[in-house]
Amino acid sequence: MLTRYDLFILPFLYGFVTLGYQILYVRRLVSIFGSSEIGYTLIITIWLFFTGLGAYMAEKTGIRRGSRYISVAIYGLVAVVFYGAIPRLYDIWNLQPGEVTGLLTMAATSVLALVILCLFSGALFVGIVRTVSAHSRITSLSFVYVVESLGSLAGGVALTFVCLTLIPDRYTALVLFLLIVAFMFVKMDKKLLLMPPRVTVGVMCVFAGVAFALGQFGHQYENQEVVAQTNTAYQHLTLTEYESQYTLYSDGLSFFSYPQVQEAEEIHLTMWQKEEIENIAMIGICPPDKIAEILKYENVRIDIYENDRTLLEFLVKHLPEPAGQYYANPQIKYDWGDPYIDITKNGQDYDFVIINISNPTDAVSNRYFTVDFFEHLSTRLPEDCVLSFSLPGRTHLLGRDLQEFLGTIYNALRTGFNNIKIIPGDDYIFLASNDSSMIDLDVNALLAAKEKNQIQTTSVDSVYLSYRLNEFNLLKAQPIYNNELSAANTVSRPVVYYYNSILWASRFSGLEEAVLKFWKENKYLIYILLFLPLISLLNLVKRSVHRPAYFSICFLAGFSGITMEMSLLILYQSHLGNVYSQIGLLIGLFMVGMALGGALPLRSKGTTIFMKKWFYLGAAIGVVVLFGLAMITRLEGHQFLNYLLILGLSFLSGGFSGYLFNYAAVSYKHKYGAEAPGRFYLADLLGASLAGVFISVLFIPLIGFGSILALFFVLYLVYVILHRFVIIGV
Amino acid sequence: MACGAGCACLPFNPVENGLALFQNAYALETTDTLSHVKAMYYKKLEGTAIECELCPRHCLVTDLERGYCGVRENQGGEYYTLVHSRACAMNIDPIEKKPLFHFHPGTAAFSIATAGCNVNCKFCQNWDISQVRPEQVTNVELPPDEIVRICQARSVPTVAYTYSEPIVFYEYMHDTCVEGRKFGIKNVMITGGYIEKEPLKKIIPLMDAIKVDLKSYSQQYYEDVVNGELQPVLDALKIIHDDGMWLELVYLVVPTMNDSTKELTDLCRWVKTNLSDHVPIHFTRFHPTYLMTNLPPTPVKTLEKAYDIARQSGLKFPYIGNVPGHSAEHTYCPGCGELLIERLGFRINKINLKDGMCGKCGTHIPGVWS
Repeated sequence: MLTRYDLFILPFLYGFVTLGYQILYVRRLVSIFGSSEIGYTLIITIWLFFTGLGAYMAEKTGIRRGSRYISVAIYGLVAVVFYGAIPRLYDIWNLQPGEVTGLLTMAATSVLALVILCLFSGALFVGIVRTVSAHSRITSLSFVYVVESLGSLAGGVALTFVCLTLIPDRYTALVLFLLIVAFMFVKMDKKLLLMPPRVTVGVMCVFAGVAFALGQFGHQYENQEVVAQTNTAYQHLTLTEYESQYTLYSDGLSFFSYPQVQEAEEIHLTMWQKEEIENIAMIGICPPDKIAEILKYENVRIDIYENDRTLLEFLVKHLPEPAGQYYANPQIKYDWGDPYIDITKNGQDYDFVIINISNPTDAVSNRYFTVDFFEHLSTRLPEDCVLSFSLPGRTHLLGRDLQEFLGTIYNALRTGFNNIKIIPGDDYIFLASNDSSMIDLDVNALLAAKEKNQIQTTSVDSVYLSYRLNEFNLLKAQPIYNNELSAANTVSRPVVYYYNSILWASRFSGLEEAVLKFWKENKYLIYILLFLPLISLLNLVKRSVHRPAYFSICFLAGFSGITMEMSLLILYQSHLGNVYSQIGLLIGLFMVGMALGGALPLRSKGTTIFMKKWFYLGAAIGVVVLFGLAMITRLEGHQFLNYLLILGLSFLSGGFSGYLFNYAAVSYKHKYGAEAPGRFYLADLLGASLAGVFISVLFIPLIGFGSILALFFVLYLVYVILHRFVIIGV
Repeated sequence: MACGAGCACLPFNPVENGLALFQNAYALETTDTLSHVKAMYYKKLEGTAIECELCPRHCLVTDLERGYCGVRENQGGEYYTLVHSRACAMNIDPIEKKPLFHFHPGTAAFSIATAGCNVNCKFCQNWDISQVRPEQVTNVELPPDEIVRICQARSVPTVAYTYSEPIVFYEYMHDTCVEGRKFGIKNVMITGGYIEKEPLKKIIPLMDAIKVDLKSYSQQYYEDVVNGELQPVLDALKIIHDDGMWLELVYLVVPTMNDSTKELTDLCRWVKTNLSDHVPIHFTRFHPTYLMTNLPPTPVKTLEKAYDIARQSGLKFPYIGNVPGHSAEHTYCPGCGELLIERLGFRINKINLKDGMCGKCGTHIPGVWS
């Protein structure tokens, strides 16, 4: 007989290990695919979906006497295929070292890498519910759900702040594996295990093997020597060396290579705009060669705004000299705060501000290319200050996708600056100022500035500039200036994500691009999606079908939970900067809220769960969440208030989600006298996985955070109607 | 700037000419319609199917389908090019950018391209035009006579068929060459060399120089990274050289992928044995792009290794490309080692050639100097 302590420790460890694995695998896969909103979303969606499916399969097949061997066989088969496939994935897709992965490849790789782990994880959930149920009279599904949330909280905190920053990922995976084996054999009722113990050990060993085999994804650095790797609070860094060429990868994406042969032309094209140069601000740390270019200008002072101090330490330690000397030059001053906030607070008399962030691919980098930021800069900086940045372009062609992508940023830029010039090319260089006499792209004037500053350059010379700055080339940017159709990129509606996704997808098969474009061209379908829950609900109410109503509430729990979690993470990044240092706190609060919210219905006895007080309670939480979310979008600039609000909302939305799940579970048990953990878990995670796809890829970029408000409002209405008119039945 | 051989090329001012060209070019109209010009090389099969005979891919194309290149379409059993006079990219470039180092140094080339390509290199610098169909780009209606007119008006001596793969706009290139020849305009083709023998032999007499991108000396690399074949390219190189056409080779050195000592040695030996030790070979620096963005740029050390291998193999004119300021950008006399053409990026600083011969020892320097 298991003690009460044992009944608590089982789901707690389950939550700890599964979230631990989730963080571990997501980080690992993202470092392979490269950090992108689509990449994150895809992995998490696949994770959630297969975990739910695993629970459902276990409920349907695994627990029944006689069928366990079938499920073992299925898992075993998948495990073999999966295990065999991992090291060969690059061969299967014919990917070469250094080749980027497309959406379909990402999806297929994620499924292969995650399917067995997730199926097993979902099945384990059902096994634990059954174990608890056999040893107590409480509503085991709800209990497990609550305690698992607490375990997840502990797992999230431990992984984020301890394991992954102190020990290599694969050893973390081993620790998790040992934990799960230990708790299964020490605490779990072996008769109720999904599989016989020996098979279980075998499958778990496969997991451990997979965790180690994931190291094989290092194929992406094949033939290069990995000089150093580290996890910072903000990113995963890898430095490789190949015949004295050093390349830094951040979260699996090439950041820069050193030494660079070509000079940083945007530095000189910016610096030659003024005769006297004193102060320069640089947002984000840059390659040493770029610093060397700036240091060619005598007595110039450089303020570098960067929040990842470990990045600099990593570069100084591992890059060969003279890189370290450049970074340590006394003319450079570092500001380790949030660049977005600090540069607008400091209000220095900068001659130039150079945004050294290559591409707005996520919420953190997007902040620096928004109406909000440009307006801040414009009001705080001197009128004759020149802002410059470069974005990836195309040498020959300004296609419609690129035109729209650059157009969103140009339209944002012109809200803050009235004098903007764009230089087309492989990189589109943007120069902006509020002084109409600034920014001269006349070759002779630039060469005169070069002469005056006595700058020696190899490649940025008269011939080069004549080709780069001739009118024929410059006027290729004309469609960007006239692009009235592109919405200005803002924090609340980061439309640039969408265009970035299109540009990214255009490199792969037409399918990815076509799917994304379809939604842009049929935006009304997104609004229909918003109201789809209401349409299906009407059907439920009309037919007075009760049983699906409970699952629908669970679906809502998952959908609203992930919607809120993702929205809050993105909102945090957009308003307050890099979320990595706070992600443990945010998710922790969400989990605590989930546990507490989930615990509320457990307090009901008998038919009290159907009383109206529960209806009013859920309704009240929903209203507060809705109101809080609306407030965030209105509190631009109030950093501390936003911080509190986001943390509070994380807690409340977790509470709402947990409450919904357990309300459905408890009331289902009261009504039907049995539990359905597999179906409930599937409904919950199905909702969560769908939210993952739609929210980050479509809703937020295409119709902004306002759409989240509308969506949440609809979900809330669905809950109210289901509860009031179907479950209570009044 | 007059070239050292004293040719009649007019000085080129990119700023001035660029502006004027722009005004001209924009007088041209962008067009949404595709061309409907019959293709030159295809074979009719049973029914309405055809077999394209332009490149070694030999696409079998049924009615209303297109070949691999995406710019040739079977319409009722006849094969048509959809990009004749439909340029999607045009610019005035220095000839050194192609790169052609032994062809009228210091002059400019009016460079044009259409959409499409018959291979799919994962490192393509121009994938935005080469890996798309003509409907996906903005096309300018630029017929051959208009190209010639622009060249004449702007004193640009050469037309370069470049950026994407000119083989796929073969008919357009052919007609422009013919038109250009009438007015003394030179033609250069910048190609991957993946072409059938017959169309190649027909276009060679219309050209003044050909630069071929030899992607690798490994069939496996051609399969995995290029989606093509090595042997047809080698065959094409021999034909071009044997026909007496001025030929330069470019070998894009992709780090970790086609830069082994063995491969480079084999390549250089093949060039010397099957072509000539006088064929210039440019080892150019790869810059991460398209699908290969997670590789480092080619280390200069690797390029220098390739350069040294070429010298040791007996090749007389190896170069290092995309590394401005490197000493291997220059042309040296194979006889006395004298610096003959000093380059800095696209700029020509000094030319020490007299009638195509070394200004110091008089060794003949192969190339098209006048």
